[in-house]
Amino acid sequence: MKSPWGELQELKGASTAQEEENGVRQAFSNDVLERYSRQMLLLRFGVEGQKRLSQKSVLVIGAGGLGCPAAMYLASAGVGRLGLLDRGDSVDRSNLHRQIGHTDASVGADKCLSLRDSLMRINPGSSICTLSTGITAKFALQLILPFDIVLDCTDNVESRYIISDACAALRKPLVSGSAIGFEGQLSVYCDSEESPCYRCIFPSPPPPDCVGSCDTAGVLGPVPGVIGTMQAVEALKLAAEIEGAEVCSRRMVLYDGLSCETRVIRLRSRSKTCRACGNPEDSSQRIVNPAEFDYGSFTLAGSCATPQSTDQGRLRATALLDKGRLKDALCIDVRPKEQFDMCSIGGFQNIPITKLSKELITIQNRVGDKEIILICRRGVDSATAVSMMRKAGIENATDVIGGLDAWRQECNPEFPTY
Amino acid sequence: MTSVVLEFSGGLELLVDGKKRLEQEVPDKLTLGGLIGWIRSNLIKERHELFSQGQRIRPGVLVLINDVDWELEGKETYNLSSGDCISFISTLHGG
Repeated sequence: MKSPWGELQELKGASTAQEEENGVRQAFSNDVLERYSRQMLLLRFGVEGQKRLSQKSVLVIGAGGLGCPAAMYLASAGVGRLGLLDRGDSVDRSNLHRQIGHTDASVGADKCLSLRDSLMRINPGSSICTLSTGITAKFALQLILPFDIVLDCTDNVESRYIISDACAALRKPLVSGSAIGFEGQLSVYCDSEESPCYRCIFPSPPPPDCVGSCDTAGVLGPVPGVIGTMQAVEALKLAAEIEGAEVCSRRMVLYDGLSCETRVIRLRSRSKTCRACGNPEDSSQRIVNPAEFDYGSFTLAGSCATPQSTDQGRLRATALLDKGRLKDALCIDVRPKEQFDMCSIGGFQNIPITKLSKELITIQNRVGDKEIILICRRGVDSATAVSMMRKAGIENATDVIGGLDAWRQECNPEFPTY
Repeated sequence: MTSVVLEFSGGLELLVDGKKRLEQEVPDKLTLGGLIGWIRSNLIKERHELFSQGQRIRPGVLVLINDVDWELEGKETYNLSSGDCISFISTLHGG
């Protein structure tokens, strides 16, 4: 199959100056010597490390909070070729506090192109190729094949399994990072014979409702910065083949920014029965090519979410335009307090869904025959809240389809986006 | 009773009132599987399924026995000793 990257030129390596020109013998051109001098001064790095680095290619998957700092350091260090892959997201203003490769001027632009522009400003000699398609199971092997080292800077479970399975199949070192809230994690997979893959450590995916995202749970900007930067350190150790360097494989770094504690834990070795990199007893279970594996069903398995109720009996956002109805009703916003404090609709009081079960008796006593109107950010938690109330015998509760997002789109475009 | 240290992170601390570290007295002669069931019944008030199904930890949680992956120590069959530190770490996926 043709490579999705098209024709990639052979890696030339850093330009070497002619020997003995004007009686001067130098390893690289003046520009290269000056630009990379501080890392070449390192005892274990030197001219040879720089040469090796300039002949390696690194693929950064995800141009967000982890991918920005990782790619910026790798481009600055003079990696031979850098690939950027992102699923075609455009830069959003809410990304900027952590995705430091993007600027306010690039809001709305394609993330890969925006990050590439930043990298070219830092190091105009960089060789950077981009694809705004994201990693897909179908093309995973072809997307990863041309690269020596892969960085997983994605934000979802499905991509993590696809990337790891492809790296396990091709035995490419995978530097995996993740961050949310105040915490981050880092590990290197598939970098040696004994090194496990992501699936060795996590044979089954978490239930989807246990997976938080920066979008909903929040994240302190520098936390993915710390992890993305550590990913760059690991990638440089691998690419420059730094003597004596110990790569973070069979170990995992846990960083907790809130307590400023970092721990390194010891992980198991490669599993003999791993479906991706071992030999499972039932050989039909072996994943040889991610293109033949159904990641959608795999990552959805074990969901403990209640099936979505029908929209029957729920309110359209436009119903909230009826001020009289709102005044007569008990209006409850079930989002977390932090979100409610940022913005809310006048007349709504805040009872976060996590505290709702404790408040049900109070609500029952207070509400009488009033209507209860529940709202949340997107209409998922409010539906759960309605069913919690019904179970507790509170019958006259309803909620808003699509939540505050729908309110903004259908009724009040001035309502803040966050 | 046996005295152990329990650690919760990666979001699991939210199931135990936000506490990341607990010094806890637990029944004697528990296996690690037994401890998981005990935590589920005694420390976790709601959303139990985010922690375990009975004595089986939910997928996506790394369990450490004194900072070492429990896979290297016999997993659920490990016999708890006084002073052990057991960590429950939910993997993160954000980026």
